[in-house]
Amino acid sequence: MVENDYINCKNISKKFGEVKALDDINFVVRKGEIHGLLGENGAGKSTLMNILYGLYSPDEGEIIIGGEKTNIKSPLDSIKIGIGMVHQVSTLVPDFTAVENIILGSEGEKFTLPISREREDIIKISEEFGLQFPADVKIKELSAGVKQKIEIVRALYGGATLLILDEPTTSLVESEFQQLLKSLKVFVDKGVTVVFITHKIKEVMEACTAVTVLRKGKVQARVPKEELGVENLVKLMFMEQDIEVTESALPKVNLPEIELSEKPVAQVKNISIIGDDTSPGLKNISFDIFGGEILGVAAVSGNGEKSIAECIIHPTMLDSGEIFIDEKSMKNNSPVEVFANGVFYTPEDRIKEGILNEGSIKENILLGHHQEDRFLKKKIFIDWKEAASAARDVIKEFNVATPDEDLSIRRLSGGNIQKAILGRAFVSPLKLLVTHNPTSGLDISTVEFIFNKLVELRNKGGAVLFVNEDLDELMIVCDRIAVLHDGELKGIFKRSEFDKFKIGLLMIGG
Amino acid sequence: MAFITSFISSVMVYTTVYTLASLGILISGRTGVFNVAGEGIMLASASAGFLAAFLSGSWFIGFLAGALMGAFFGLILVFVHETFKVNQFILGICLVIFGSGLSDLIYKLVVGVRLSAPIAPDTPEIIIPLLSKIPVLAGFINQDIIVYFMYGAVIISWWFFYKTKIGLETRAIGENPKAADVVGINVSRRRYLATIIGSSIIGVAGAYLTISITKTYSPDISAGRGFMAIGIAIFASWKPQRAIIGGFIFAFIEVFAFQLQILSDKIPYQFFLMLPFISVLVIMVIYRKHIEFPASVGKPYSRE
Repeated sequence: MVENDYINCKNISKKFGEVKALDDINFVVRKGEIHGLLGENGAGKSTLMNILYGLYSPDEGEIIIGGEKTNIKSPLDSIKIGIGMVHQVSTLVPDFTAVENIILGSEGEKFTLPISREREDIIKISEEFGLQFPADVKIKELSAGVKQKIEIVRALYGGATLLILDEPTTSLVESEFQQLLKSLKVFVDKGVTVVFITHKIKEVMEACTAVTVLRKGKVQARVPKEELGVENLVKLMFMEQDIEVTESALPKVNLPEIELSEKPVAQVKNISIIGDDTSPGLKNISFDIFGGEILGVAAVSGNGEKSIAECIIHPTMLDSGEIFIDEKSMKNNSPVEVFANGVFYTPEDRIKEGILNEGSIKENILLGHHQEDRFLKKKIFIDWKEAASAARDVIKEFNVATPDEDLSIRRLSGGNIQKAILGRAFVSPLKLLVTHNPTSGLDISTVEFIFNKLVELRNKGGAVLFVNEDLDELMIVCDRIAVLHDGELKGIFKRSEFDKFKIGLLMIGG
Repeated sequence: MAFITSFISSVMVYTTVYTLASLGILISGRTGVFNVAGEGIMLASASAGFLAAFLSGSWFIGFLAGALMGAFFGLILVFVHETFKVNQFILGICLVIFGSGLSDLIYKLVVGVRLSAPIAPDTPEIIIPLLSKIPVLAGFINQDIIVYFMYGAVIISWWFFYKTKIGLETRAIGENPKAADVVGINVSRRRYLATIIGSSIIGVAGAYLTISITKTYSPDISAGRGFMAIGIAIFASWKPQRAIIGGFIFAFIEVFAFQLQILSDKIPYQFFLMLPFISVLVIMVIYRKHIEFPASVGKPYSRE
């Protein structure tokens, strides 16, 4: 054992049902490291950290911390020995303030509520680590970036000397990511060791001082700082697969020059939606989409991007303005009627909005097409044979990993669900695909696959409206990018005008 | 004046029933366990409490038995829910049916059929000197000990939920159990505690019907009040200090309807019996925008 080994997970194995999530893992973190835990989705990163944090218990193996064997049974145990974790999905109580959230579970008198004293301590810690936030505002009114700061401060307030960050950048914009990088350096200066879970090689390169690569539940390698390199890491993550990547460690995509259609596939004319508590609405937006192009919509989450995506397939949402598909007004049309005009949609939240959890793959792929003549017998009965054959086509065309089309869709991984609902869009002739964050949380190989499908449609003369929060991705795959802020269209950029800084600034209202 | 005082006095008796029952429901609701078994618990506790009081001759043992019966139901509810993740509503409805059957069964096993109904021992009253002479106010305080128990339960649960850290943590479980779990709070243990304590308070409300109000047992004595209590908990946005207001409103309507029933011979009495239920609907519709729910109420929690 090396002297400064701080965390040493030895021979950890964990099964969920029949699936081996972790297989004989050996994982070492040294004091003062910013240790990247890199791997594609389902590689076992979060499972391993949830074991370290006491949320899951390992089937086999032991955890040695600071040279001593420990028995972590619950988060309470791990907090006591100085482990803090910031989870991928916010674990704050939306209706409580930051201070109330942070004092939850902390030590001390249980039958009083001495918030003012604890509040001072919390603010002191947040200033010390450069993580300021409004202490007395309810969490539900704060942005994802601020929430994350609060979660980090909660861990530090609990006395964490090891901070686990599970995919901390998922909902951050570039400037917030840079801020997080700065904070990480402060943590290390103050004696806090960091484990940084991610599937993005670019982030590892920028943030980490050592990396462990996981693949399919096994440790591929522990890479020290000197050997960190994009190519090296891609090889470790994907082994046999051959993926070309850009500098930002995203898949490379070929966009050949092609002729745009003469007339726009979709025209959006002066549309407005009145905003409310949850969304700023849309303010008098107009643009055209032509066949043979991918139009990106760049926006920080919550700036009306969801409304843009939804109102095209659901025009009755509009308070004013009109949408034309092939110069035909869609006013007062229902989604199924819009779909009949060659439009389809993949929603932002693939689990909650994209699928019926209890349904089979076949049933889910039929959804949205279920009123098309092709799938109806005598105009009212569903033709299940035809549905099954359509589902089999999707499974084949889109590489959905499943034994057959009758499997319950919730048993697929996130990437395969996304492929299935993307494939669903192609079941009938497609002129315009509206897709919202199709790649979020997916690994590079799946992202590459999805990009190629979008480009394929474009090359055949179809149009894509690609609403996405990751600007890097948009810049790779889009012909034009429209920027949305606070429900307003801030500008549309051609590919030759793409400028990450300029567009990024417009996205945050600069 | 004397009429108003005595009217309020009767209202407070029923306020006690409604408030205790809805307090019991909202306490477990704050940890995410939606206890819809209130009606069944009240019936079973009304019967068990009465029998214990009648056989022992002690009002206190009667209420203790009512609370224990409630705790027993709460234990079943939370155990089955936490262990097998069974849907809370289905479970609750089963317990309503179980409680309603059980109440008649144990009464008949112990008492059988008699010509004159057995009578429960008196519940002691607390009369505060001087204050009890003031008209109107006297209606609130010239009461038996369970009314004071209700006042105390409301104040203590308000203090617990809003003035202590353990209460803050308990509320956190109802809002987001994951948030509580990851900071080391034992979600399951708190749910057990809250459901058992809450159900025993509902049990006291049930026992109060037989031991103190009617002083004897009759079938279906709670007459839907356990369901009304769910409405009050929702109306109160799961806040103890509002539950007593909600309890007072519904008790007022019930007593008022009862008085009208005596005064009027033109309108069928069923109309007045219906009034409390209609008013729940009306009040809910008017008040709906102001209702808040603990975000995770009714949902099972597991880590994986």
